[in-house]
Amino acid sequence: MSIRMMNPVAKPHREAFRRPVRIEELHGRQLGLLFNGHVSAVKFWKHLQDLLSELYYPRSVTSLRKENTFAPAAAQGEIAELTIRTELVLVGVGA
Amino acid sequence: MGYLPLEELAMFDAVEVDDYETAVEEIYRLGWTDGLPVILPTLRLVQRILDYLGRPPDEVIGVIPPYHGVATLEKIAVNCVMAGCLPEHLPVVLAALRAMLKERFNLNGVQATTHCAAPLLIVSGPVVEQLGFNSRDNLFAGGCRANAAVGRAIRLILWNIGGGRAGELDKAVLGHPGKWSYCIAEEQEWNPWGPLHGDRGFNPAESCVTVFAGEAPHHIMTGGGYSSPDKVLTVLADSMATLGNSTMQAGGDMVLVIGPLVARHLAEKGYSKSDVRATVIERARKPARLMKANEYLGESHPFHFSRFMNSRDDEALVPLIRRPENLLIMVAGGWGSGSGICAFIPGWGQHGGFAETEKIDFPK
Repeated sequence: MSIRMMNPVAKPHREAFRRPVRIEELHGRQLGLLFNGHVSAVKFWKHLQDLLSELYYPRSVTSLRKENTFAPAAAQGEIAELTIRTELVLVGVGA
Repeated sequence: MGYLPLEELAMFDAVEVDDYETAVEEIYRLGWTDGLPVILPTLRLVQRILDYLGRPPDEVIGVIPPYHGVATLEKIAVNCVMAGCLPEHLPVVLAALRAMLKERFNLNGVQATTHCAAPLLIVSGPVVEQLGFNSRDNLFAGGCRANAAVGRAIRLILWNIGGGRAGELDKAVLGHPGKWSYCIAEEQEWNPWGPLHGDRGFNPAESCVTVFAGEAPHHIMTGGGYSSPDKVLTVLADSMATLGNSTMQAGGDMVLVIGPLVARHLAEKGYSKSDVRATVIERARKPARLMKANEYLGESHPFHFSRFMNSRDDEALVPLIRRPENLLIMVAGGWGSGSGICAFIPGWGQHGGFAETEKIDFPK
């Protein structure tokens, strides 16, 4: 006699995602940087900011460190600020 | 570790095999378990749970990160069967899931962090006796189906619905044995104080489950059968304030499990739970000069102790517990000898895993 086993694995929840228009160059643009709170991240992103400014001449750079490394950036906090002040944001992912 | 992709595994409702031996191996091949054997999730066993709950199988309880699997009652029931749950265990599992899905718990982070934290379930109130949860000897170990099955069900749900698979989305460097199953109960009869959930704003007469993301339990020999309360509280505080634990460095919650012998001893000498909390918080401190030996957060981090006190004063004492509500005190464990055994469980700092409590609702 065969045995039928129910599947414990669930389907993932999907949300529609609209791909933003790609910005072709950084020159004269308002650039944002969003990163986590690790010691290494702080050093890395400062270096990246200097490098981007030196090579691509953005109009401004808004650099934000997330309050909590392990939680998504707050919609009413970091995300809202970046939405107002920037046209493009580079986001750090992972430790 | 060579798991099959979850999205592919989720495409079918059931698997049919010829015999028991094949079923066991098929479960391992499909990666439905983290290594421990499981009960075969047959339709009849799953249906028994759904009949007990009397709710639609497609009712969605939540979305479990980081894979963001949709936790329907049916999927939860399948995992509970595999864990060895009885139908009456389901209300405890569902209450724990509701607690873990609250924003402050940050389940996404708890599941994915390099830290070892695992959700610990603390069951309290009349349900402990009603369903036979263990709150005494071998509190954190084996010997009790309710503790083992409910804790195991949460782990399998995190594994199969949340995708917290070791080495993939779960990046824990070491993990700890509580990641197999981590469920304890609070003692009622030998508890001289009120229950844990009463401290957290719930009716003490109700049954609740508190979920907290914690390290493995750390054993403390307090000498509580022989020593004065003053000495016992000093031993507790000193044991808890260690330089390497996340609570010391990054704040957040910590659980202190006080054995019944120590609890009775303290209560007989006039100490309320609030007195114990206040004294431990006052004494569980480290000098700033020692705290500086641990640089994992960095001084610029929002959770670093220098944000709330003068770190230039090397002799300033940094508190382990930053707010009184961050210290959860419960009574549990065996009676033991005069050594007065207790335990503490550091959390994951303020990054997440904060304790959340939910009332356990049984079907009407």
